[in-house]
Amino acid sequence: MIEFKNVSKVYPNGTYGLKDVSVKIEQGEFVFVLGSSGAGKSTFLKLIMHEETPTSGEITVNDFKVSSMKQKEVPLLRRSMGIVFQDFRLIPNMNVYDNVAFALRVTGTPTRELRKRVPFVLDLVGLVDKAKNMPTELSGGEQQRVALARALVNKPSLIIADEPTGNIDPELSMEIVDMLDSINKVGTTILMVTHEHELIRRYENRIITIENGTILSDRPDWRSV
Amino acid sequence: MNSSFSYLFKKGCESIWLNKLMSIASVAVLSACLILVGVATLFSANIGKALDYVESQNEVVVFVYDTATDEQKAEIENKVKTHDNIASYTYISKEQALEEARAGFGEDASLLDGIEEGGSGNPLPASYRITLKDLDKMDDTVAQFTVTEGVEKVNSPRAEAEAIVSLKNIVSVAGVTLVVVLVAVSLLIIANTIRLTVFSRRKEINIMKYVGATNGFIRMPFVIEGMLIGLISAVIAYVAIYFGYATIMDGLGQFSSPFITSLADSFIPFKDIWFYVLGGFVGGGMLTGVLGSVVSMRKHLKV
Repeated sequence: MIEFKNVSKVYPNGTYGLKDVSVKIEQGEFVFVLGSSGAGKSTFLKLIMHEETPTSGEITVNDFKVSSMKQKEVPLLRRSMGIVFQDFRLIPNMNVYDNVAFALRVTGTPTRELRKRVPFVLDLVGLVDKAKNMPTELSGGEQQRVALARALVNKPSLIIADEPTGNIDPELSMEIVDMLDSINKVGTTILMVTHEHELIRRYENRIITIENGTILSDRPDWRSV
Repeated sequence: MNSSFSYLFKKGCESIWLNKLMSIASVAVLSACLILVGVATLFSANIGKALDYVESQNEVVVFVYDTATDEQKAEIENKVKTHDNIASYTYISKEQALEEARAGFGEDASLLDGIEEGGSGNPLPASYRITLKDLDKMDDTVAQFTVTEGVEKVNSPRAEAEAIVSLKNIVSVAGVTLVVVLVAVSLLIIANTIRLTVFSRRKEINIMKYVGATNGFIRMPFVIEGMLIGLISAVIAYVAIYFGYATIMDGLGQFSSPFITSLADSFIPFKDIWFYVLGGFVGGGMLTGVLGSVVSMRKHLKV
């Protein structure tokens, strides 16, 4: 559950990232976030992840008061969400298994627990047989699936995907979004930033469009005007 | 959380192995710095002891009046025995003084034969030859004896004593300064080396933060790495000093000059200090490694 109340973000050089934005996303929704580059979508995500803090307004994510959090609580926030990036961000000198396992290690999960969960999520994304491979040995689509497995392994209630199909071939992009859809059907909230309109049309999801730092539109699906 | 710690410890060890070149460079630099610090410290300590030895060779001589009363003579003897700045003394009677003079004259000793028979007898006074504990207090001690009744005069090697005291001071100050400078340099070099390691892994650190790792979790393998590098460097430095020290002691023993051999004897025996040397190195090495890691990571943990 994400809630923004009159949130503004002004950067030190004077530019507005977001201007007085208010929006609420309930648990279990699958929301697309659209907007051109520099429109404010990355600011929107960064504020949710606590990579930036708002200049004014309140942000609540998963019962965390993100806008007024202490620095040492930030790791806890990040563990409650799974994040998938456009450039995959897998740790290059660890194999697939260790990359996924890392998300569990930071929470102090014991090794025997790890041995059950990691193969489980690798199976969900269909990459059990690549467990020992290094990220450089995988295709873009496979790397992103590993990133997704890593995002899932802590059983988060929210998954944030920042242009997850940006570096992947169009045919495989659909696979990724389909996976996100299945994950959503089990109850996980999905927030996906994208500019690929063809992908959006395949789903009846809420679409929030951000332009010039404000919410231009917030429609229940791509057909509504 | 035990599983976390053993995982992080393993990662720290792995890191040293995987980045062999960097680790070897760090160990080499830290070992060299530790060895230099060790050499500087041991050198100052030994120079101090050598100067103590030279100091102890300087004698103050208290000459007693022939006409002193028995009470006064007893008083002087008592003072010499009980004075707290006197390390040791030798009493030379008038007769012994004459014997020494004869020995000094060598072949011409017969010239002194007439002394006892004619004239006023043996002119040489009885004396106490004294070695002091603390040359700094020499002037006080000399003054105290000069005013004692029955004392004719007191000879003191003032000039030599002053030279030795200033030399000791210079060596102490130089030694401490050198050690401080070397320690600072070691810390800087290690911090920089580790900063390079951390920098080359900044992407990895960034990813770890996004996955929700705490700063402590991210830091730990680097701290372990720093500690291990410190430990390995300490052992290398210790072995180097051990063999170096033994070699120098042996080398000095080869000299035929008795002055140098007794100087070498006054060297601090290694077995007395090996514990301090090893402890100092291990403590210093590990501390430098840890501090270097922590300091160099701070910037990269601010996400």
